Amino acid sequence: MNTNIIEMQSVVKSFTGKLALNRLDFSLASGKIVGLLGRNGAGKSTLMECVLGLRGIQAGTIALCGDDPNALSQATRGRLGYVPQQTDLFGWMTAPQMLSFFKAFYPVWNDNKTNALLDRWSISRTTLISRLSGGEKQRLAIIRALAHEPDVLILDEPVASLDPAGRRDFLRELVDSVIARNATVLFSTHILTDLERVAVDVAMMKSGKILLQAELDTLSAEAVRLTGTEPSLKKLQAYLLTNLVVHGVTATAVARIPAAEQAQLRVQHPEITIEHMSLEDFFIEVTA
Amino acid sequence: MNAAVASDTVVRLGGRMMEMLSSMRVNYQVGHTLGLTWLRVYLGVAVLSVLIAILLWGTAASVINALTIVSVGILVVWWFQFVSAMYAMSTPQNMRLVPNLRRETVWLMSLAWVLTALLLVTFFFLVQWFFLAVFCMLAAASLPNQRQRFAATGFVSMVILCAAVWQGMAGTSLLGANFSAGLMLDHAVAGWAMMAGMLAVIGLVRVLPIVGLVLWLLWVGTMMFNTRIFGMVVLDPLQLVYTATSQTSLYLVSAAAFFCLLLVGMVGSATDRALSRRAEVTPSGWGVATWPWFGKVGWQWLPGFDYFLSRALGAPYDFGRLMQFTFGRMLHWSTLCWLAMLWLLLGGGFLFMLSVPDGDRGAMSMLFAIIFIPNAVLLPSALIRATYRVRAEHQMLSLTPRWPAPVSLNRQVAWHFAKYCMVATVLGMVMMAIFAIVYKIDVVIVGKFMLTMVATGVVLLAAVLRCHARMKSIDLGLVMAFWVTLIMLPNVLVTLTFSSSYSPGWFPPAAFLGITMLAAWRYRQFLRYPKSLPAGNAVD
Repeated sequence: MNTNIIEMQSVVKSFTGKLALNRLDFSLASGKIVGLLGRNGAGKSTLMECVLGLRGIQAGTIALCGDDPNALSQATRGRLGYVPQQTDLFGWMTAPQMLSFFKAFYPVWNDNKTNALLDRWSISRTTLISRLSGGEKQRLAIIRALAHEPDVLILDEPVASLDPAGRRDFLRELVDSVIARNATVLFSTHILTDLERVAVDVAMMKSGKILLQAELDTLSAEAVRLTGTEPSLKKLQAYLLTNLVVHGVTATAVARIPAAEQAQLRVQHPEITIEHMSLEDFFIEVTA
Repeated sequence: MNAAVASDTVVRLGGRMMEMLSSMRVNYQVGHTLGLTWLRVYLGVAVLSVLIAILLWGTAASVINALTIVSVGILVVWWFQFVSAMYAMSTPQNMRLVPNLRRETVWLMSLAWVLTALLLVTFFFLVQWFFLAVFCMLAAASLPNQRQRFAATGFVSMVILCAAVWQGMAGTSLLGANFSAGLMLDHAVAGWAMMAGMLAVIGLVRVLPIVGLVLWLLWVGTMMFNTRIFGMVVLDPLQLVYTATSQTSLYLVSAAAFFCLLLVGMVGSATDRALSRRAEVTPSGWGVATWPWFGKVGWQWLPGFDYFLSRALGAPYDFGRLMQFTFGRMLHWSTLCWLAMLWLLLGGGFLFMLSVPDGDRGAMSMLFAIIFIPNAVLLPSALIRATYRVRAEHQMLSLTPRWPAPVSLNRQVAWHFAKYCMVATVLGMVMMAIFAIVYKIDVVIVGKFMLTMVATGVVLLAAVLRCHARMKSIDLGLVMAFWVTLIMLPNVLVTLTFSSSYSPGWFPPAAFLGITMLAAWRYRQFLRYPKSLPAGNAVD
């Protein structure tokens, strides 16, 4: 039985000649929390919008909870929570009015949570949404997305416009209420420290493709920088994720080597220095 | 098919129609329960206008004028209300089946509404009865029991329809020559047609009603000074007993009252009240602080009484919210552009007319052309750009369960078409206003045509939106384009017939036809090349 919440196969999406998704394959299993990493223009938002049926695709197939994204069933829609990158809420309503409006659509709505979050995040109940700050709007969008306790949460850089305290609050809420319910989360961000707090898995995108997808802890342990002579590094070509950068007689490259093999390689190739990398450095070099 | 099955089918159809037409009771969440507000507004306007008319002039004609103004306003607003409610009905959570509806009531109401629709089609001749019917329907809405409301409305509609048909056939009036003649005052119809078009759009934006009011005053002001900018002062086909000054003053006062009441009633705190009703808290006391539209804390006297009335009527509030919700910022843009255009036309045209000799209309037509042509290009462009700005709102909704559009694309297409339909209507009206001035076309014809355009545009919007909201495939959109054309055609033909004796009068309908065809073509293009839609789709 297929338990993948998201299933994308050979998906192609382009915008006036620019390829945003390039025969992309991606899957997200139920209960997984995946952080989607990628530089600006890598295709993260497009991927999410295609998954949700907000954008059409030119080729390939997508299934969201088993449904065609362009004809999502009511049940699937009820399971979804989505925070877009650019929140454009109904500016002519107040926050409680908008939440009340959306409440009518969902079979489940957690009033206690919405009220608590409105209080905790100090969102005015009487001010029109159009007059809220960008961060407040983002918080409100997050509240809206969490209020119906979705099984599948798709967050497109949800903390981008939040201050550090706001990000921490949001992540705490995410961990406490969403992840604890074994929900499936696809979470794009470029703030890696946030990702490390939340994500279990990480997927890195570059030029419309998924470069790699792995558990975060595993990737942290496997992300290394190799330094040595060019011929020696070429022996480990199978592990390399980037091209060799040659500085005189030495060369460096970023590689992903299973933790169990690293000690063995150190013994086999003493001329090669194997250094662990932070996820941020790893991301920068791999997606460069 | 036996008789029982046929009967059952008819009853089912009637029930479905009732679902649509009983949408006075739907969707408090959107905040469009408007009936009470509108009823108050119109009754207020009616009473005020009649009182002013009696006090100032004391002539039957002025009273009739006041009634005419109110009636026409009711017609147009009722149509918008009806259409918005129809659209709301496509949202499943809004469906409130009429409980325990008796079969006879369904029959009666179905028949009444069909006849009413037929009457609307022919309202060129029977317009007065339609207004009266609408007035009575609104009055019937105040009955406490839903079944009573339907029965009363059906009964009244039937009586009025029969009377109207009889009057039309016999050429006589049931209520006296003055009453009938007053309701037939075409120049009042023409004036209010323009006003209604503006109101329908203006009422949705906070500040613009004030601009609209200024515009209205300017327009009336031109009539008061006998400048004949719309040729209205000289038009008095029925030779009633009133002066131009009294007539224009009546326009002035009643329009001001109308606008003020609109500001208070529609743009006020209706949404807040409608939304807060869901909290099931019954307001009470002598007064309560409210959330007003302009953001400052307000005060509402006797909220409990108001609450009681709103519950008793159970009719929609605040259709403005729904329309704004439906069309997004498009209306803001169109209103802005349209009003800017009217400002230029009225202000510039007025000043220019004062400065040029009567015979020198060529220069004036050039002025209008200079004003009009850039707007014809800029307005749609601005609207297209505005489309992108509401994309996120629609994205959010398309992922919401029970939202009417099964496919996000359909929603986008509907939205786009609504936009173009609106643009076509607006541009057509503006063009006619321009050419009415330039070529001295009979304002009666222009007014009738504008009324038709408004009504047709609204019906089209409703039909298309409903159709698209339910469509599962864009192929049906092509079918819809055909229906759109089909619906538009009789309207254009009727207008051409009416304008046949005025050679310059051919131009506005021809232009309108052109604009309509352009809109249909553009609509078809969107369907064929949907990748041009802002949110994309699955079949490009």
